[in-house]
Amino acid sequence: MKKLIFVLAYTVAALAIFSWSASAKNERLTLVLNGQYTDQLTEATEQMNQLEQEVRKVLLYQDQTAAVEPFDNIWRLSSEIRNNISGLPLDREFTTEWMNYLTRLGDYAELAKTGAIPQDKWEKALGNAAANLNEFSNEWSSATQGMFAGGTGPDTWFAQLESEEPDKRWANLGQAVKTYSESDFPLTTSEHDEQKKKDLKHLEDKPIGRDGALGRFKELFPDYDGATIHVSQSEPDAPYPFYHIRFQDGARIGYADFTERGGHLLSLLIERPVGEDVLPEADIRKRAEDFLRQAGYEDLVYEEARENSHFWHLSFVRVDPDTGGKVFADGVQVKLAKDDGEVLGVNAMEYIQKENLKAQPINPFDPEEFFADGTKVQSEELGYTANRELVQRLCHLLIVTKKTGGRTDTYRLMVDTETGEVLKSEILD
Amino acid sequence: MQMKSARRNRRPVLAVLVLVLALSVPAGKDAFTAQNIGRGAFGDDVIELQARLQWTGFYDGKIDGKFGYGTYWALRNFQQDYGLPIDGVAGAATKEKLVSVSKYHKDFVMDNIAAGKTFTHYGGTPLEAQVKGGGNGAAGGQTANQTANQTANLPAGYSDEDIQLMANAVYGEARGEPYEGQVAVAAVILNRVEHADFPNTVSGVIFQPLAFTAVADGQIWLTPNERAKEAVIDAINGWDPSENAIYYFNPVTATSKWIWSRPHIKKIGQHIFCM
Repeated sequence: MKKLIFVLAYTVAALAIFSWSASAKNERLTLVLNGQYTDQLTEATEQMNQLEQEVRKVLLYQDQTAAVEPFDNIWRLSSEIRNNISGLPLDREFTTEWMNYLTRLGDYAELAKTGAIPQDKWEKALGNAAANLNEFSNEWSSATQGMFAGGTGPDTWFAQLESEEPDKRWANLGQAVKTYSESDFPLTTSEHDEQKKKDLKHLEDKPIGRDGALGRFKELFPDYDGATIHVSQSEPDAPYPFYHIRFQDGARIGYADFTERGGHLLSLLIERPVGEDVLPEADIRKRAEDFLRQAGYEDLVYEEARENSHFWHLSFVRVDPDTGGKVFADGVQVKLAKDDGEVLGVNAMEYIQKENLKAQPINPFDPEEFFADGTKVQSEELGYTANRELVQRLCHLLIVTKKTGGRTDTYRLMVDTETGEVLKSEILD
Repeated sequence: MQMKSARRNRRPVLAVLVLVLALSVPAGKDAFTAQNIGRGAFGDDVIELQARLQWTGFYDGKIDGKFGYGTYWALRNFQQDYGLPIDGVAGAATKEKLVSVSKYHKDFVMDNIAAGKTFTHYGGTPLEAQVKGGGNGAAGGQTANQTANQTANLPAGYSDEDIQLMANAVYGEARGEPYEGQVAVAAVILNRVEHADFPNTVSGVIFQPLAFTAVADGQIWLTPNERAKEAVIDAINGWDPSENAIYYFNPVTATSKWIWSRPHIKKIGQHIFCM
């Protein structure tokens, strides 16, 4: 009996100590988190005031050079506020709208700085932005009132965020920012095109129907003729309609999505166990190329391959027939099993709506004049990439090497054939 | 009799000598597999190729098993210097020449990779002097192959840390879902990184407060399996079964009214993906 009492007393004491320790730890964490959130909120508020001032400052100048600093500050501050806001548990609707507004404001300032936006246009937009930011600042003060008080801990923040009835002040603020975005920074034509391409909303092909989608699947992947197949349609408010085909054939389980209009393959992915055999890379590539040819993708060329533990991922890009330039935005990716080269994935989403390419002069390009001494051009061809205004531009696509400090680095550069501007530069591993 | 006995005594000594020699001589001609090795390749063959190119002074990069441009130029220079066809692909002739002019200390290389150490494999310098430290010993009992398998061959702009973090998120969020659903969750993370409404880094998106349940309940710290990692690699290579979604939720457990207001795209497993 004594032993039992001793064991029970010991257990109760241990539990009490554990409970006290856990509670103390939680309290400490809560305090730390509360401090961190308050700090981020304070910083975001201060930066918001600075942002408003910088937007007003930039409107002072006629001289483009004098405007560079406030433009840079707008870009920097918008990025820093985004960082602070994204780390705070604020109303989701408000956060997404505010992040969007800040991104647009920062990008706009960056473009205006380079002269890509005419002065009268950016003056108008930033004039609106200054007024809106002032209004926003007042609303923000009202919404965050009380959040700086020590008693408002993370629990209160999270409870508000998870509440079924969101706080109206935040909802209104989110709605206001959405209006600012639409009025201050409406989408440009290029952004519209980019979005349209992403959404595949405006395909003009005829609807193929459920049977058409199934027929297209069997035509492209005849090996799955005997598979158990289930076809469904995208939800009614999806940004673009498509058919979703799920199938199972033995150990193979996969899906394929086809656009409702035209029956274009969006993507296919199959999961199955992969053996330890390894087919040579050349055979893998040939199988991918054979598949693409049979599937009707005839204007693609091989771009690169990446091997991983059981699969190869191969990338192909469209070649513009007029210039011979590679259109990287119109690519198709193929995934193949290393053991037997079976095609286990195709991603053709970006290939469906081709980029709108405009004729462009190709001015003489002299690498010796363009590059510093010691830079070696390893290959040169033509390719397309988007500039800052999201317009596809024909470029000299150069692979160059340069030895710096005993190390040879490889660079991939895309230089506009008309303006000579470097639109893309990256160091390759 | 005495001579016989001496001979008998010498046998174990000889056997030990042969064994020591066999162990100390670096892997020979048949060390490479029969595969041609070119840009984009990944794995043990590339590790050996890089180690041998470094032994002969042609390669000064990291020995990591990823055949990138550094390995490519080194191989072309080797081919040029030895009068081989210059194509940047390690075929039979190139591999044979490499094996004849270099050494490959497989155990040294693999052990250092497994331990996460910074090291080189130059000829003419004692190997023990070429280990520059690093690594935290966390690899423990892992074999080199296991460690090599943990890194991945990725498109430019993504790091091994991105893969690790995304694999954790996918495993924590969707480990019971079909493979398609796991790739879709990884794609949603990437769609958010590119979207103006969200932070522009993988970690920023994943750790945005209350964005992912797995972060809130700590399941993100579970060790992800190969399937989750593979799903992430597919998403990074361009696959998006969510069809451009930026949100998803489980209709059985979701409490937020707001998430139901988002335009729905499709349902995969237990998740509804939406805009």
